[in-house]
Amino acid sequence: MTRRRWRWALLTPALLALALAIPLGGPAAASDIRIHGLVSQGYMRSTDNNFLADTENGSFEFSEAIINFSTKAGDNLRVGMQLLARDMGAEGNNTVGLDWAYGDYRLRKNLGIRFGKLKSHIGMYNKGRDVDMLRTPVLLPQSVYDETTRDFAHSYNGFSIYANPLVPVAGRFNLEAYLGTLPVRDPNSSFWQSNLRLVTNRLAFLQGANLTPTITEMTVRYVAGGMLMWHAPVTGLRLGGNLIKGQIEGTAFLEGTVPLSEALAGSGLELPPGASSVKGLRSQPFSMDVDIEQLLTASAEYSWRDLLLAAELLYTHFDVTVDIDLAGVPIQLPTEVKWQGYYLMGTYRFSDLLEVGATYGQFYPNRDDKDGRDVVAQGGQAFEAWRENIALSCRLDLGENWLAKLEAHRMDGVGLMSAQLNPQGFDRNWYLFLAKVSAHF
Amino acid sequence: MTIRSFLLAVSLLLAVPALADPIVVVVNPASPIQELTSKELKAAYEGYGLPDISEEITLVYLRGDIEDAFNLSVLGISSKKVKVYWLRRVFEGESDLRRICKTPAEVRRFVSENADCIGFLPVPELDESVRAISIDGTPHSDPGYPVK
Repeated sequence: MTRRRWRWALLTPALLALALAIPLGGPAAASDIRIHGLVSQGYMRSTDNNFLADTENGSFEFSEAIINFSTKAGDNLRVGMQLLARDMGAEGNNTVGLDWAYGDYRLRKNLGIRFGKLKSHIGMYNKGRDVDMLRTPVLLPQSVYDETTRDFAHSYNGFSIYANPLVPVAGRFNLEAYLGTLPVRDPNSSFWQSNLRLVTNRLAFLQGANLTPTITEMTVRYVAGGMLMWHAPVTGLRLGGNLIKGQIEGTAFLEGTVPLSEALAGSGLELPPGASSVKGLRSQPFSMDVDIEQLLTASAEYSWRDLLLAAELLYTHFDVTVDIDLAGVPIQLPTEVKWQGYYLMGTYRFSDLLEVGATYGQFYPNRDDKDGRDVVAQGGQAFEAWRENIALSCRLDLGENWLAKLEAHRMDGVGLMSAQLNPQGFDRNWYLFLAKVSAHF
Repeated sequence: MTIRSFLLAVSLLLAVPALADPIVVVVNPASPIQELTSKELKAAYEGYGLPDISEEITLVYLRGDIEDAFNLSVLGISSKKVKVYWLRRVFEGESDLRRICKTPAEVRRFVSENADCIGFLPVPELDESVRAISIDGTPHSDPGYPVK
């Protein structure tokens, strides 16, 4: 038998077995393989600033393709996996990767353990952030679900234990506690770049510098977290919270120019005779230790008939210590990253076809500098200290399995936006328009 | 319009739901489940299982107007929101417990062939291949049956 025939001889029974196991619309055995998937394609265009891609010129780099499989693998054991390819500007580029893969063993009816690559609990909607069918807006509210955080916080590898007790009078509770690590797909993604820039911008030693950080390695030692969701006895009301703690280590270097004469003024350090600045500087690799003291979200959602109201709050505190050797001077520099964001959202379904929504949110990359005074002192512009967002969304359910969305955002400020994508600088007031079509099965 | 005729109109409007056809909740004839409370039925269709059964159960849905009526009656939300609820579970990596059937015959066949499941049917479609259960101690033949 030739090699090709061997291949078919092996593949055909496997494909037949799979085909027989897949439900094709009619009733089938309860333990067959479930397959679901979706494809989506979007378009983004902005005025004045680039948002995640070259949106000032309009960008189609905004898509997802997902397929997942799950089956009951034994008594009380369920396994599943999902593959995802996405494109969001410079991130994703349609590379197919493992989105989640889990084993879920139920110890008792409402108590179980999960293991594998699991989706992180951040707010109410992070776990489904790639799935357009689950919400009215195109983008989840960016003040809590900033797109640049997706690669950082989307999922973790580890273990969790969950329970869903029904407490008389009080209602249903969902609880989950977990321990694991976060896979870092791209240490130079917008998230890490923007946050390291936040740190380096605050170092007095580097004020007035024009330095670009390059992260060579990023390792998450551990993350641990908990989730609590309360489904109140009032139909449609749920309240919840999530807390994540962890520790990250990394190495990076800075490249650019530093006016050392200004930076060293008053520091007690002296420049070599005749030197007023160091240009074309590339620092030695330096280490970073990041303690995730808390990444906290608080959430509330009320759903009544065709109305949905939601509000969420994000609050972070990262302690960052940078051990840097710049121009022969070893220095340990502790600093903090303290985000704060919240949003209010309302959606209403007018008919089977039309659903509309409105969202208002604010985000501060440093809640101790909401008016941007520190940013200005560091040589930036005050509106880099916040991002205020008003969004109007329209969802059209074109059929049972596909939909289209249109969305407009009015933005004030550029907090945590990528400087790399905006080398010409930022404008304070800008607009973002999005359109997207999604289909699922 | 007199007050009497206004009250009559209001009472007729309020009476409409009570005149709606019952939706029979059915299980496999071999199932240990004899009856459920409204809360237990709601919990089952939210994916939290059935009392005294540790196995994961399959939730059998019948497409059409009856699905809308069932979701509003049992879960208190529209079928659109129920669909989003289950899609969320599917794409978040949790189990999809639904079995969507297009005809009552499909529901009967699935329920009669699988012990760990629960479904619903219009009264005229009930036969001996499945077993109707009482809700809140009330059989579907009783006017007080709550699933309509």
